[in-house]
Amino acid sequence: MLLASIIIHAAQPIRQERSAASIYHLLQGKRSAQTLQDAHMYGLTHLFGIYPKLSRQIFDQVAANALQEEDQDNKKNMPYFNGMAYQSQTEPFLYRLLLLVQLLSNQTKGENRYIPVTDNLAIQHWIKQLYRQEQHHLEDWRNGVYEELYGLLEKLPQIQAELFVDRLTGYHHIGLTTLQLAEKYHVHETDVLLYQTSTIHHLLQQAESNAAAFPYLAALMDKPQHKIRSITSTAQKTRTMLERGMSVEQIALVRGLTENTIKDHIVEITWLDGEALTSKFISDTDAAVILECAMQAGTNKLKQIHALLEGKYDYFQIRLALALRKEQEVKA
Amino acid sequence: MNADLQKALHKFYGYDHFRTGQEEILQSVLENHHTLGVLPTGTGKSICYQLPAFMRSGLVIVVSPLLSLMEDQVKQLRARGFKRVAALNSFLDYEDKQQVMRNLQNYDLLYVSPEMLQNDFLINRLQSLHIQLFVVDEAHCISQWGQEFRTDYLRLSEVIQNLDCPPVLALTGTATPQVQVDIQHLLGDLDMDKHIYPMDRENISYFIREVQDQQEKNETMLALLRKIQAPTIIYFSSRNMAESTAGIIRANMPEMPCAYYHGGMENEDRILIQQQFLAGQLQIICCTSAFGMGVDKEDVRLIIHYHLPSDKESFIQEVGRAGRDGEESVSVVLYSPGDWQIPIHLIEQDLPEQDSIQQLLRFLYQRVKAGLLELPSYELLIQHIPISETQWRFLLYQMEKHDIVKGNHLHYKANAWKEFLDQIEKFVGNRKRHKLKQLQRMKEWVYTDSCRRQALFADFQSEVRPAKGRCCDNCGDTLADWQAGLTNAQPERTGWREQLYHLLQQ
Repeated sequence: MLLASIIIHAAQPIRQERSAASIYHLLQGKRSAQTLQDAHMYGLTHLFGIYPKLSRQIFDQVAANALQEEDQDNKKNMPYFNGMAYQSQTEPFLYRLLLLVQLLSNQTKGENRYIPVTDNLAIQHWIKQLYRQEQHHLEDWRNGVYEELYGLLEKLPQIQAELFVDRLTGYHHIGLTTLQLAEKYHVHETDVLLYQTSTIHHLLQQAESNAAAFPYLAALMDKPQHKIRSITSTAQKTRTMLERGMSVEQIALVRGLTENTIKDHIVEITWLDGEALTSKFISDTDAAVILECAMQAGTNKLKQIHALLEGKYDYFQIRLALALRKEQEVKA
Repeated sequence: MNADLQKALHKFYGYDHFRTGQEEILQSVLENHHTLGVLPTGTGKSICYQLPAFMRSGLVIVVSPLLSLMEDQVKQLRARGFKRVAALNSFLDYEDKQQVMRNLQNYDLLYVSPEMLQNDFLINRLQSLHIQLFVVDEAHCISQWGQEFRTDYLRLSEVIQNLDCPPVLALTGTATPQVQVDIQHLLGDLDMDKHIYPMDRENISYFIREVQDQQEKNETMLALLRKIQAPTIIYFSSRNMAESTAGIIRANMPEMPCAYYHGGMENEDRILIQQQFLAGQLQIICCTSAFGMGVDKEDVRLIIHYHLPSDKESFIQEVGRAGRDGEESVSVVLYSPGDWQIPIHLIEQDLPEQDSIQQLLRFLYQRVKAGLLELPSYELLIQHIPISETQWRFLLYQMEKHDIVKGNHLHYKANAWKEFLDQIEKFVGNRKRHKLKQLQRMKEWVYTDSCRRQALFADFQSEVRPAKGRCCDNCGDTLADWQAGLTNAQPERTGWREQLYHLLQQ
């Protein structure tokens, strides 16, 4: 089962340091400072938000079994994911594509009466705009989308291509529901959705990195300026205030939050943006000491590091140092 | 024959002929008469108000209790290119509702749920527009003797008055003479042209198979499906049973594409399943009563009732989804003696218990004593009193009628409250008795020895037409030599390459 493999894959770096729930929040894409931090700290950003609709119940069931049989299953090939980059545009892209295929397939047969595959008004509006602009080039679009999909799906494992194409609705042919796909291909319903997400991430990645080769799919993506930064908006506020030179105490007072919450924000910002703001709170030498200690002990557990350094540094400083390490690794 | 109407029918629907009753009702509507139309299911009631919306200026308001039907109709109209249509109901979020209400002048056809018409802002907006027709769909819901009483419907006469009494069209698929009188009276004693058409269908025959238990029921059902092999709808009273039985059918008949459908599914999946059935990719649907409204499939041949509904009207409506093309079609009821427990249970659930009513009044009294005169929200209420939202709406209406609630506030007078308690208990008792009586009638129909066609429709019309082909088991007919065909579907393609090519390159 793919979900089980993914959970095991995520559990390895996290090891015993964080609870199973943290993996759940990661897959679900919870936009909290803690989850974003986990994603960065343990090198799991690609799995962030790949399954927004995952139910806690199913996760708990699968995780309980998966983590027991950890050794057996972890050599499986992991499908491509890039959650941190694409999670916010996975769904819009998918539904634009589904609706576009439905439109092109019907339109070429002269059929104007069909019920759109999605109720989402924003998606319908988007495709309508596209139609207005491109209505004299639909032939090109039909061929272009076909060629691009064909080429890109061919690079994927067959199961992903099958699941994806069987979901498409067109002229006198209606796509299958998740449940129907699961039954037809003998995979779990959750895996149908995960494979689909992987397929979409693959299409997005190719279209984004090589827009010249895949112009039609690239046109269905959000423009870069619409991309949502993966920092939470509350942390963004804290950052703005820090940049204005306010102290942690002042910010907490003005925003009516606790100082610890503000510190969470600072750690979150550090994960994403590195040392820009941290020099106020921890010196390079101190950070180096903490990182050295963490490396030697082979742990990311705050409590353990805190004890090893005999309480010389507080938890906030340790978290900052760990966040900085990530930054340094990326640079290196 | 009205040439303009004919032309409009062809222009907007591509049909050359009206079905029974449509033209007469349209005629009356276009002459601005108040009209009562009783048309059997499957004859296209909606044309009676859609065509005026297309042909004339002014807004047509359609009150409908069925949210899914509303959504379906709006979708289908839009698919046909008719965009000046909207639906207003509790499904929409606040933003979308405001959006529709602010732009009412841009619509020719507006579907609303009855509770939305309690919104003062909406009424205000509507008062400033020219309303050419006010349609009460499923009008039987206004009568407590109809199969589905909606207290919200009782307030429609007030709404009609507030809108300066536009021409009213009341439509229903099933109404006994008693319900017809009620509709006219409760809509404000309007002087209505009545167009009542028979509900019996000459091309549907009726069969009942008695079985002892669920296992035998499943075996009988599978044998029937194997023999008939035609587009089939199977009705269940529970979602779980619809799901599990669909699984049994698929396991036993892998060659017959089958799926389940019920109100608990994601909207997107519901659309796909419905469309697959229309396209012939599915031949069998296992469903609850949520399926069928607005599904205009002409060649459904077989309706199986795995469970029976709790009244004949609902049964007639569900069976009426077969054979809309006029070809011979069949209703089969599978019934085992234990089946009657389910509808009894559902009836109990629908109406508030005496205990809950007392608890509710005690709770409200406590609030009055504490100086909290504002009406509590349903969300707050259910933390204290175990009632469903339907039950709460029902009680709310009754409290307003007895002046216990005015506007959004409670009014306390000891006598009035005591009297209310007495009356409401009596009223609920009557409702329950009425529903059980309806159920009893359904039951008698199952056990009857005489012609099922006669027995089913005698309450609704003075004369029942003879069947075109087979009539019913009691008349000695059998299904032994009946043959029907499957809906033609596109050939199944193998592999994603071929499928993708077919979708975009053929």
